[in-house]
Amino acid sequence: MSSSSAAASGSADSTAARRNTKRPKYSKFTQQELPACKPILTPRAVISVFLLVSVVFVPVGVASLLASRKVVEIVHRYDAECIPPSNSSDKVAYIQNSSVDKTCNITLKVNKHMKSPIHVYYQLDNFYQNHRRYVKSRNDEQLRDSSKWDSTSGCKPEDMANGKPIVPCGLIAWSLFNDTYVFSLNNKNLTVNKKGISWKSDRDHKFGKDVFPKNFQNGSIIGGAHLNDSIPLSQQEDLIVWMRTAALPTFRKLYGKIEMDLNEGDTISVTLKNNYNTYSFSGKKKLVLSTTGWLGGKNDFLGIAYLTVGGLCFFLAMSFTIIYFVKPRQLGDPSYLSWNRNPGGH
Amino acid sequence: MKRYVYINDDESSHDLYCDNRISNRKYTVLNFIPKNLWEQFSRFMNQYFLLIACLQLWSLITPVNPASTWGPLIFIFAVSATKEAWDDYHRYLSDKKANEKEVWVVKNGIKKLIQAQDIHVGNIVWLRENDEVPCDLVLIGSSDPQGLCYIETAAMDGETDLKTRVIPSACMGIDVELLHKIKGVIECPTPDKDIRRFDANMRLFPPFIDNDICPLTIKNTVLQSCYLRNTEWACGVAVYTGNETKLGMSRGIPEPKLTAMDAMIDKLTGAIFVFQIVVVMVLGIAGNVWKDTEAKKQWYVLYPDKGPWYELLIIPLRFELLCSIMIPISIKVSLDLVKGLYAKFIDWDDQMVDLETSTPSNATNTAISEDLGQVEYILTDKTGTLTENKMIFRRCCISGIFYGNENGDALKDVELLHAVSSGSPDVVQFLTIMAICNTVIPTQSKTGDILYKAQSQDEDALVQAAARLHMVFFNKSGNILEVKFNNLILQYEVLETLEFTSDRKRMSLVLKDCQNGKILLLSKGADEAILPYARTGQQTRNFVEAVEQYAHLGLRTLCLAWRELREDEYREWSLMFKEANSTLVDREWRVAEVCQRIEHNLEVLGVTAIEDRLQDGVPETIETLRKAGINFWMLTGDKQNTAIQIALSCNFISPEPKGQLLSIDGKTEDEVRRSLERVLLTMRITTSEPKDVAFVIDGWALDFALNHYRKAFTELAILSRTAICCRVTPSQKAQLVQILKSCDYRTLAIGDGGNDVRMIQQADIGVGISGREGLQAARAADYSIGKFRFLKRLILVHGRYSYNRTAFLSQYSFYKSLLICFIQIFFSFISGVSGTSLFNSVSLMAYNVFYTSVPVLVSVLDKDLSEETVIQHPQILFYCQAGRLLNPSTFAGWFGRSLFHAIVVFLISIHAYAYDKSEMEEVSMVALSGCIWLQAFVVAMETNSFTILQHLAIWGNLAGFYAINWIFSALPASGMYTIMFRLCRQPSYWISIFLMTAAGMTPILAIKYFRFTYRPSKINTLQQAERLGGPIVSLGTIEPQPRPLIEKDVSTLSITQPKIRNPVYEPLLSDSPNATRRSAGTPFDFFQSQSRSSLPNYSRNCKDN
Repeated sequence: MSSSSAAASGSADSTAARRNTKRPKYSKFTQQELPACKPILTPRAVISVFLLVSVVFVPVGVASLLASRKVVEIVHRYDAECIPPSNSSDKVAYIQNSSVDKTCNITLKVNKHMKSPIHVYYQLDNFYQNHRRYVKSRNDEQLRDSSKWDSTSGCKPEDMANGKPIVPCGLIAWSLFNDTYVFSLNNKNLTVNKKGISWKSDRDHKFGKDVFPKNFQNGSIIGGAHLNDSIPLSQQEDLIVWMRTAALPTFRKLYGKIEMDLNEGDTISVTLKNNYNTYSFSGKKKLVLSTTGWLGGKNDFLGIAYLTVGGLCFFLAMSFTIIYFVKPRQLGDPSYLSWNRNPGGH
Repeated sequence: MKRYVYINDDESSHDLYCDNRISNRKYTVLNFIPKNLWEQFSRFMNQYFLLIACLQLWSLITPVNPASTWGPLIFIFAVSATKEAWDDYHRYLSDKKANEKEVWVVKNGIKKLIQAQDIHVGNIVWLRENDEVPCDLVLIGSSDPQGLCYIETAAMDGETDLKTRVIPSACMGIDVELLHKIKGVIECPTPDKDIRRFDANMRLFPPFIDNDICPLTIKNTVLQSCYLRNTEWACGVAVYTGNETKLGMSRGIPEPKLTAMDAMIDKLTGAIFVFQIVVVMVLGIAGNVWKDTEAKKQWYVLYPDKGPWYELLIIPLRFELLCSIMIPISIKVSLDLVKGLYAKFIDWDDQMVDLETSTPSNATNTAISEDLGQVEYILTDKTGTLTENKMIFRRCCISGIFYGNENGDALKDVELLHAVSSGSPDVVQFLTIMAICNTVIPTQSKTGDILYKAQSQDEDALVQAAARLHMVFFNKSGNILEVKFNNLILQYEVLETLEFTSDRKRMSLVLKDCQNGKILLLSKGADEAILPYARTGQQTRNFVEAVEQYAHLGLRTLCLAWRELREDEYREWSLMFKEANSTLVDREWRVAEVCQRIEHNLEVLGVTAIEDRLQDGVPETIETLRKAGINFWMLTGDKQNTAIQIALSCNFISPEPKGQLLSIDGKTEDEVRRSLERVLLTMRITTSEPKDVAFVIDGWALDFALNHYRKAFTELAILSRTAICCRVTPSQKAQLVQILKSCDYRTLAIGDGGNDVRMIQQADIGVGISGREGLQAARAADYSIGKFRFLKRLILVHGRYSYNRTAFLSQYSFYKSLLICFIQIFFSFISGVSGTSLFNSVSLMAYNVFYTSVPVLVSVLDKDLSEETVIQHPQILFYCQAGRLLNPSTFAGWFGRSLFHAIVVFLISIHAYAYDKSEMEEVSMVALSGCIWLQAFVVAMETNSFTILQHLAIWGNLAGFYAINWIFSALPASGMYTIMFRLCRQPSYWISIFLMTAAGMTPILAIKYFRFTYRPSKINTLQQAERLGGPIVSLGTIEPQPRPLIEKDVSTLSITQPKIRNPVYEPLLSDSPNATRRSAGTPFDFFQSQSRSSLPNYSRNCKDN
């Protein structure tokens, strides 16, 4: 009885002292005593994590790989074969000669049934759309707003031609890809839908409906494609696609969509105009026809990477388990605190 | 240059000299912005960032919008400037308080109350008792008939004893009323900062006495910031005012202290800077080569054939800008922020509140908490720091009879009480000396109780004890002392007071017993100052024994003695004394000499013993901190024996045979040198033994050691874990700190009194105990605590956590900056080495400012081990002391981690988003998301304890990242319009992110797990023990280990080679110090005999006189 009353009075004392104004306010935060969970790396927890990761990753990897394998893809490189043998010694001169007809016929063989929609891409290799001089050479204001047609800052050296601003200005627009493809299946024209190949948000908000090309490709050097001056930029979908610059020097850009299935064994003949100069920097040009899966185009990378990581985790889990059983080690064993060892060895 | 001060002349000097407005402000409203900017730009980091920001304005080379650097830069400057402005505002407020304090000043012959700032040179200022002196004054009047007044100068020079000041002879005897009208001129030098010198002359104008010039010295002045004590009033003429006072002239802004950690971070920053320059040069050259070979073929880039002259510089400069984020701009702000919080945690800590006085701990300096965790030497004061500074009279020895030995309290000793009541003459005389031989002033309170005002705690204890023994000193009026003994009132007239000085070590009174007219000399003082002057024929052996016995108990002793003076002897001596007191040259020495002539042939009565109790928890605190590998030095002004006893009783040194105390002493330079060398030799040898070796040195020998044998003494300082320095002066304390600092040790000085202020300011960390001796130490210190035992918590808990947290935060800051920078560098290899930025400006800015800085800030709540575990295993502090958590090696780990993560993120984003998906904005956002996810998991993995705030910050930040990017994606004007919405709908995005997280984190988890389980550090082991609820090992009897850092041959140690401390390499706390220590090559028995020969020094107690 007496001891409890003493304790009570003691606590009353301390609370009275705590109420003293000079004392800091008491809270769990100020005392660094917030309830905390303090996990440590126990063998069980770590091995479970590795097992869990491998259990999740292997199936996902398999699924991704399957998805990628299901995609049917036809890739045809045409930059070399579309040079007439007579010009093969100086390809650059051929391609820069505007008076020559650069039509070229190639055939593509469908090895597997392709379900619509089939995406038609052109692929460029060794083309640095991400080059610093190139990637910044545009003016978004000018593209969006017709009243800003004369703002060409950042577009140098393709900002002005003959003393007038260029719309759309800059190196990107100026170097617009200008090969064209006409597809036919069994001598019947295969329609390629070129509507809706660009991002809707670009058409709606980045490229103005009332912005028309002006003074384009009028300079001393002509870069790539010409634009129809009567069509607003928001409908120049090839330009919009092109102006979504690629992050890598190898990239594909959507040319159009074929909205019908292609059967195994079909032969598609393509009549293309080989206008675009990739010869001066020995870049490749490829024509790609591809279906899409839930992961996009054909790309085994994710699947393989998933399987690798999953396998690695499984391997780690197994080896940690083996080490755990072969060489068990008690966690928190005080004998590992070396200051408990008798100094001097006696 | 001289200044002429016309006393009481209201007009003439107003414009000549400044008024008394004190200003400690660094800035004014007008110069704040330019001056602050100038100061901030004197830092290298800031210059660097400014250069980067300026380069970014050149659009040709900038990879991103200049705002991405300018924004954070301006923010950081704003934060620093706000802090400065805030501090300056507080200085302004405290100045204002001092300036607006009201003082009595004579204006136009009338005493008026005005604000202190309106005092002008020449004004007469009146001070009352306990007033602070508002400006430098020359005294002209005092309430004391002899023209004396007492001042406390602690705020100025740190000395707590009262000093006497005297009015100039010319003003002697002027009537109080006439002082208002006094006129004259004082010729004094222009203001300087020498507080010990004032060479001036005064001439009073008629009708005040004659027209003679009266010389003035510092003795005639009272300086600003002193306090008037024990004097009813005093008045003086203002000679220096405002910032021109001696204090104002000597006031400097103290050097900001830099922690060892800051130095390390600066070093790492430097290393990263060099790395960055190398990267920039390599990439710059590669870029130019690529441009000249490849880019000329890439027709669509339209490189002009001939560029401007600076063409070669463009690409390197672009890379410089791209890589500038390698050095995290936010690190200073983050560190300032968390450091502020560490300091707040100290202020808030409920367990560091002194319940007696309810003073919380306080961190005045918010910037050096990490250093607390890295302390290697603690230099502590004794009185008031280890002890309570509460003096209690415990025992006495009167004429050879010991009182109080049985029950430890003489006041309750029946024999003494009996002797008092029976009126034994020796005892009565003893009590009389106890009661009146002092400078105590008794005052009667309204209730009739008698209160004593004493300058020294010892005198207070003696007077109180005498009163308890019925010898009540109850009144002092002028020169008459009145004592009540058993209802008998005795009166004494004080004839002379022979003051206490630290050289004389005694004080005496010459007084006339009014009962019988006899003239008596009463003395009290230290044993060595009294016993040698005993009456020839008196046996003092008894008293020597008593002193030794008491000193062994850790008691402070004083010897009391008296003698009767013949009338003519007194007369003769009195004349000499007066003459000595009025000399101008070497007055103190002359006075001491004259005193010596009368203080001899004393009848020694006995010895008093006063106890100064140890504070609670001092031995435990010292033991714990010594286990933590911290070395203790005790620096005290007290005498050697008392110091040794206190040291023994608080675990400072171990008693024989476990410990050994080596004494360095000697009267001459040569003796000191030999003693020092002997101790050094013994010390070198015994470091190999598990023995506690300490040395003890007194102020006299220390003076030689410091001035002539600094090198040897420094080596000794390195070797010795423990040292006791007695009878040291404040400046010697500071010098000792300086020596340890020069060996690159981190020192903490702790003290409570004004005499510790210099040591506290000198040390890396100064801790003040807000104790009885006032608050000067606490005010000058970086940290102030209520009790010594809080030091344990301050160092082990707050210091350690601060160190760990800052170590993580700083390295993490570099990790995240390097991560994003490496990705940029990798990207440049696939973008024609042209310096394209993969990330857009908004992302880059937000990455540094929001995404990565918020989660890491909650690491201020992280605790690797619980407080209890750390206190139980103080050895774990070694990780902080040796800097195991932040050093080039751990940093290399983080560097490698960021490189690895950059590779993972980069490879996965470019491969998963290849071909048709390789759109710039998308790839950039995929890579950025990968970085954010990885850094969230890195923070999570490095966090040891998750509170709700951690979860909120880490996972909330991840959610915040998406929220912010969705907002940006919803703005058509932004470059990343709709990007994030598109990505979040793509399964491949999520699959890539999870892949990056898993690929990035699993190897790190595996390595961490392996290390944690199979190569655990001591911290890990304790974590395991703590969290698995296993038995936490009690440490048992573990010898404090010799310092691991002197594992090398000691003979190679020199001052220039500060220390060998390996922050990386195990073993911890030196597993086998023996192996390397025994390299001196001296035969074993030789040093055995050496150490034995030094034993007598230890047992000898007092310095022979």
